[in-house]
Amino acid sequence: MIEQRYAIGHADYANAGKVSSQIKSFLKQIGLDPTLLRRIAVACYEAEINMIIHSYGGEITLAMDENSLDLNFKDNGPGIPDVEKAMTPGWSTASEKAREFGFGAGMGLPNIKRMADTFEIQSTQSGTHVHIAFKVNE
Amino acid sequence: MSVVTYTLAKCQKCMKCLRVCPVEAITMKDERVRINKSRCINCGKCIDSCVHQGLQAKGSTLAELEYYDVKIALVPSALLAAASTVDQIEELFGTIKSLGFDEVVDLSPYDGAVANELYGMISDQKEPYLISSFCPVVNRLIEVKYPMLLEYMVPPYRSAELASRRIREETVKLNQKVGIFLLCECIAKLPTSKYPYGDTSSEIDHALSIVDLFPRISKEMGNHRESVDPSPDGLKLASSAHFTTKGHESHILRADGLEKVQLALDLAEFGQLKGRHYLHLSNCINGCVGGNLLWGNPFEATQHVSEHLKTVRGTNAQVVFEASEESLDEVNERKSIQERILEYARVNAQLEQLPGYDCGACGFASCRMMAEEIAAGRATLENCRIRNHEVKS
Ligand code: SF4
Ligand code: SF4
Repeated sequence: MIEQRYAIGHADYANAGKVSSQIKSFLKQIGLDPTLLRRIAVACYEAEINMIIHSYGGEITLAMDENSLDLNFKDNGPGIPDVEKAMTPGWSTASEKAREFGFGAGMGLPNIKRMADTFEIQSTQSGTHVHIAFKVNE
Repeated sequence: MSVVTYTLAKCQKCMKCLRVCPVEAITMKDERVRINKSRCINCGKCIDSCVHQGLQAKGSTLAELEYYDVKIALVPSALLAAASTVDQIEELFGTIKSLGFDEVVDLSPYDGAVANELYGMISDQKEPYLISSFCPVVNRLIEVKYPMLLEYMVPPYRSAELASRRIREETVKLNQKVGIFLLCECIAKLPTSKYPYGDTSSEIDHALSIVDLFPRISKEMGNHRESVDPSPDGLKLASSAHFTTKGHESHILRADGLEKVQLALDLAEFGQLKGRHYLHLSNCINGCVGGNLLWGNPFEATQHVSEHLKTVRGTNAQVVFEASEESLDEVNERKSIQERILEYARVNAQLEQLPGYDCGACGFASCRMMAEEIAAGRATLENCRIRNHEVKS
């Protein structure tokens, strides 16, 4: 079992994608199947960017054994007011669009769900927790 | 297959080459440089970095000509960009012929055929993307560092190979020994022939380094002439600034130079190149016209292509494209995922003991590589100079 944790700063655009890059290179070192690796990389990147754009910062944790890989994205709020709406492909409010400028808009959550084998989301004002998991057995 | 050769006597052990290698193929062991031949992507960075001429890449020599009855030179489209006018291209072809060839074949009609095949693919392509395959450095880089992008790669069509196959077909009836010599604009193309690097599946006999021919070419230049009818599409394939197809300009991403190429590939892996249908990637600045065995400068070469394109009207070669069976050899026998996780954990435990400076003083390009060596029992923590220093003080 391997566990890793990474901190994500609030609106830390300058470092956007760095954690995903580290996770990606770790998974390459392990030598995961390329197709699986790409699903993980895309989902992880989208979730990391979401955290940077929409949250007050938080933490990404990774846990991996020979059966599965779990990624947890936990932030410190402000939470998503209507999770169901946020899960609709293409959804984005006007102010969010402005903030997402240059970071590809409105395909975050549905795209993450599409990539992962398991997808769970909980959101309150004190924070959002996205948990995604992938089967790794070959 | 790496083409880089090392000369111990010239090496000053400065370890510059270790640090510039993009794939960590170089280590220093027992006071000498070692190049991991199966990891090297032939980018040439180490050769450029060495100011002591300790590293080199050589092709065959013209002395080989005498073993053949009919001698044919293949000239890459990129070399046409070294000439400033079409008139000069003809002088260049005449000069090359005067070095001892019976015929000089312009590859631009074949590159043009490849470009056309690509245009068709780009028009049909929906997201995500296709990745070009004309540059062997980029192809190897993707194999070594970006395995998740392998499935997007265009089949490796090589104009020189297409031309050689045609020449073989046309000359079998001659019943003579026909020697096909490819002039190479970059070191990465040197191993694509039978000699000197032993690709027995190739129809090309010898690969020559253009820069090595340069002294003789410059001496003879102006005294000979051979008519040439270059293909505009072929020139466009070799010059990244010119590669495009009508209506798809915004779908094409061009990246030249390894840094830009790696940035594009990193973003591609995250699915972040939205709206791009084709990535045109080259190791050399401005594409093959900036090849590392050419003597010109890539900026001038690009300008020359713009000039040539105003007048050249040559037609493309008629070739049938079939998927080639160039094998992407899967070298590492697969250990189970469980073993790989354990191994990673073992390496990480060692890595935590190391300073993380990636200074290279131990002879390995990164602390991670050193940690791998220690975990495998081939080195010890005492080999880390920084750590020794800290332990003592
Ligand atoms: S040619 Fe490039 S990949 Fe090969 S050893 Fe030199 S720097 Fe490394
Ligand atoms: S870009 Fe450079 S290294 Fe790549 S094929 Fe062209 S000349 Fe060779």
